[in-house]
Amino acid sequence: MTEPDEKLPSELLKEIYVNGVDGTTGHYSLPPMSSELWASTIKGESVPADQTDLKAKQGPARAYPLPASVKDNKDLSKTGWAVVFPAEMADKRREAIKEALSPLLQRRLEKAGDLYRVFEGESGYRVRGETGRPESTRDFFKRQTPEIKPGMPKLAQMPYYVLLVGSPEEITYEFQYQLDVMRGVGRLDFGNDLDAYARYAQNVVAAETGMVKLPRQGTFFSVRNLGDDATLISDRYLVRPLLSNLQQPDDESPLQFDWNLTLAASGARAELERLLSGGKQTPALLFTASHGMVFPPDDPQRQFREQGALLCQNWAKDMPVSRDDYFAAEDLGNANLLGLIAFFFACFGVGTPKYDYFNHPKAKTRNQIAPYGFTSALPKQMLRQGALAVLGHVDRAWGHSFISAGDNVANEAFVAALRHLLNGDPVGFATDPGFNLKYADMTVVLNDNLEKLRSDPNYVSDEELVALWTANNDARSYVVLGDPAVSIPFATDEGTAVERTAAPVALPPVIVEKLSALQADIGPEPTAAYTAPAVATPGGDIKVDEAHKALVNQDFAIQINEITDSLRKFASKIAEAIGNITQDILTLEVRTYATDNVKGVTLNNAGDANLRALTLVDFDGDMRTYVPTTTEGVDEDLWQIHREMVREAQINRTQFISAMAKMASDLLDTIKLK
Amino acid sequence: MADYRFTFSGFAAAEAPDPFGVWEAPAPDEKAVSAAGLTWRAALPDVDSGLDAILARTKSLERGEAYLLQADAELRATLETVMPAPVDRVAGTASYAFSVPAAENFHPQKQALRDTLSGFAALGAPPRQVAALEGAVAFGAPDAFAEEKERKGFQEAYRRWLAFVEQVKQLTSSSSNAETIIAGECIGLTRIAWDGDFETFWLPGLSALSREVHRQNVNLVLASRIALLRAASVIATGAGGLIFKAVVLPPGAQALLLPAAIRFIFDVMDALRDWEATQR
Repeated sequence: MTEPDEKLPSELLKEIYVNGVDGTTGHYSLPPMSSELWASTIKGESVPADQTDLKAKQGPARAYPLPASVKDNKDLSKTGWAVVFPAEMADKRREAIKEALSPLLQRRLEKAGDLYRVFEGESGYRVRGETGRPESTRDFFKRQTPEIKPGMPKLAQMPYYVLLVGSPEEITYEFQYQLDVMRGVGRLDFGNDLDAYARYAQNVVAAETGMVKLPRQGTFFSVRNLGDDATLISDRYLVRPLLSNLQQPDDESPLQFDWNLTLAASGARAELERLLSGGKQTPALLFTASHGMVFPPDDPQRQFREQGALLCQNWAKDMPVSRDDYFAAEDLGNANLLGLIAFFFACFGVGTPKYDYFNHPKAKTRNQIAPYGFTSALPKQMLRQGALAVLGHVDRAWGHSFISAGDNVANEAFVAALRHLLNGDPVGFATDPGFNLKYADMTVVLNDNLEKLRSDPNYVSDEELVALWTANNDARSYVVLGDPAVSIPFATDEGTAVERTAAPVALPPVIVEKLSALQADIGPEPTAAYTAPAVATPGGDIKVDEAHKALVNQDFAIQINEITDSLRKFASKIAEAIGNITQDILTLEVRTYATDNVKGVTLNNAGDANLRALTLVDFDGDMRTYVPTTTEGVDEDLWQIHREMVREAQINRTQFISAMAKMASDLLDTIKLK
Repeated sequence: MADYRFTFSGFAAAEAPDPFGVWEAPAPDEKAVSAAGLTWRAALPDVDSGLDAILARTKSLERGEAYLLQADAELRATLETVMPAPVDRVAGTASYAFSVPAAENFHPQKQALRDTLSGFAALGAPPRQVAALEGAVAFGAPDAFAEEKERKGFQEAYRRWLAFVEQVKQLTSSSSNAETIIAGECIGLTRIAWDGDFETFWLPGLSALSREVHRQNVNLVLASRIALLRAASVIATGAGGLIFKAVVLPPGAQALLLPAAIRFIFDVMDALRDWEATQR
C-alpha cells in the first residue's frame, strides 16, 4: 500500500479533498469523492447568460484591471472609491453605521474626491430585486442613473474600489463575486455593532497615517495533520512552493522590498496563538493553510462563533476534535493586530453561504448548511482588533485548485496576490490579477465546455471537467473582508519601523458616548429572518443518529404545539371568564339554607332545603338582606354564620378575580400572546 | 387512630398532588355529595378534633404559600447564575451547557433544572437577533436529551404541568363545593359558584362548634383555590425568567420552559416540606 507521503499529486487528485473538518465528528465535512461522481453534477449546471464582465476580464482587463490612464492603483483620486449599503437597510441604522465609519469615509472622500460614491437607499443593493430575487451586478448596474455598463470599469460611474457594508443576507456573496471580477471589492459586516465599525475605521486611518510602520515580516503558518491528505497537499504543494517562490527573484513581478518571509515554527495552536498575540509577535502579513472548522446547521450559535476557525496540528484524521485543537475568535484576547493583513486558506475561512455550493453529486437540491449566510467570527474579530483586511474563502476551499491535472503546482493566483500585497498594493487590487482573472478564465472555458458537452458527451473528460469546475469555483470564492483600498503599512526604509503598541488603542470617550446613544437607538443586532434549517441528506443516506435526532425533535415539536395550544386555549378561557365575571359582578348573592338532606342538593336544585337567609350585595356596596327567623324571632346562630359567609364571599370574590387576572396576565406574558 | 381525610376531586384524575400538601385525591369509590363541580371534602371523625385538624391544615397551607415564595426566590436566584458555559470537548453530546452552580440547599433541584434545560439545546435557535443579549444562554448541543434520565425528567415535568393546567382550568371554570363531613354525616355544604356567589346548606340543629368547623373548612377551600392560582402565576413568571435567559429557543418552544419552571418550583416546595417534617 502506498503511504500518503509517497503519493503523486495526480494520485491524490483522484479524490477531491476539501479543507474542512466537522467539529462534532472529527471527520471531513465533505468526504473525498471521485472525479466521475463529481462530474455528474457539474454536467447538469446551467451556463450564465451574461458573461460580459468575464470576457472583458479575459480581454482588455487581462493585464491590468484599471484604465490605462490610471497608473497608480493606490491613488484613489484616479481609481475612485465607493461604499454600497443595502437598499433595504433602515435609514436610521445606515446613518448610525456611517457615523461610526465616518473617519474612514471622510478619509476616502478626501482622497477620492469626485470619484467618491455612496450607493445607498434607492441606489443601494437590493436583495429583493425586481424579479424578487437578489440582484446580480447586471441588475444593479441597470438600475443606476446613468446605467452602469458592464466590462472595463467606467470609474466615474462605479469606482474601482468598492466597500460593501452589510451581511451576505443583505448583500449576497454572489454579488460580491460578480462585482469583484472587474473591481476591487471588500466587505464589512459587523451587524449593528457600531463599536466594531468605529474601531475598524479608526484603525485604518491610524495605519494609513503612520501610527504603525511594520517591519517587513511575512509568516506562513502551515498545518499538517497526521493521516490527513488534505493538509499534506496544502503543506507540500501550496505553502512551501509559495514561500519558495516569493523568496526567489521574479523578473516579471519583482518584490520591491526585502521581506523576511519565514515558515512558522510549527503548525501547533500555540504557535498560531503567538503569531496572533499582537505587538511584535504578529507579522505584517500572515498566511495560513489548514482545515477550517465546520459545524452542523442545527448548531447555529456555534457556527456563528467558530465556523471557519483554524484547526491546528494536534488533530489527527478521524479523531474527535477538542476545543484546544483549533483557534477561534474568542482566542484572540485583547491582541493589538494593527496593520495586519492575513490570508486564510481554509474552508469557510471568511464566510459561509446559506446553501452548500458543493452538494453531494446524488443530491437533488442544494443542502442548507447554515440558517443564513454569514461572515466568519475570527476574521471579523481580527478586523475589530486592528487587522486591516483578511482574505479567505467563502464556502469550502479545495486542494485541487493549486495543483493542475498534470501533476504541476498551479499556485499562480496565490503568488500574484501575495506579491502585490508585499509590494504595498491595496488588497482589493492584489486579488485581481490572480484569483479574479483565474475565475474569469475558468468560467468562460468551463461554460464553453458545458455547452459543448450537450452535443458531445465525450468532449471533455470527467477529470478535466472537475479540475476546471473546482478551480473556477475556488477562485471565485476568495473574498476580502475589510476595505479593499487598504494595504500593508510596512516600513519602506530600514530603521523607520513603528511597532504596534501592546494593547489596541481605545476609542475616544466622546465617540464612545456618541455611539452608545446611537447604539441604544438602533438596538444590538439587526433583525434577521431565521428559517429553521431543513437539512437535506445527500442521496437519502440518513445516518442513524440523525434519524434519532429527527424523531426526538419531532416529538418535541408535537409537545411544543400541545403545550402552546393548550395554554392559548386556557388563557382565552380565563380571559372570557374574567369578562363574564365583570359583567355579572353587579351582584354577589349569598344564600343560606337549612335541610335535613344535604345529600339531596344538586347543582341547580336546592331540593327541599329551606332558604333561611339571603344577602344581595350590589356593585356599589348596597346590601339587601333577608333575615332568618323562627317562631321565637331571629335565628341568631344562623344569622351570625350567614353574616360571616357574606364577608367571606366578598373577600373571596375580590381575591379570586385578582389572582385569576394576575395568572392570566403572567401566562399571556410567558407565552407571548399579547 | 382517628381518620382525617382532606380530599379534592380536582386531583383525582391528575398526576400531580397538591403542591401545598393539604389536599389529596379521593379514593376511587368515594363519591362527592354534590356531583357537579369540584369537591373539596373534609371528612372528620368528630367536631372537636375536626376543628383542630382544619386549623392545622390552614397553617400548613400558609406554610406552603411561604414555600412557594421561597421557591420563587430560589428560581430567580438560580436564574441569576445561569450563564453560558463552554464545555471542554467538541465531540460529544453538549457544546454548551447551563452553568448553575451547586447550592447548599437545593442542589438536586438545580441539577434537575440544569439537566432539563440542557436537554432543550438541540431544538435549534433563532440566533442572530438574540445572540448579542448579555447573559443569554447559548443552546448548542447536537443531541437532545442525550441522557435518558434528563428526558424522563422533562417528560415527568411535562405531564405534571399538563395536569396542573387542567386543575387550574377546572378551578376557574367550575363551581367548587366545600363539604364538611363529621362521623360520616355531611353537616354543611357550601357551593361557591365560578362568579363568587355562595350557597350554604346546613343540617338543622347544629351546634355552634359544628358550624365553625364548616366555616373554617370553607375558609381553607377558598384559600386553597387562590393559592393554586398564585402558584400558576409564580410558575408562569419563573418560566418567563427562564425564557429571558433561554432566548434562543425556536419560536413556540418557550412554552417548554413552563414544565421546567413547575418542576423546579414544586420540587423546592417538596424539599422544604420534607425539611419541615424532619424538624418536628
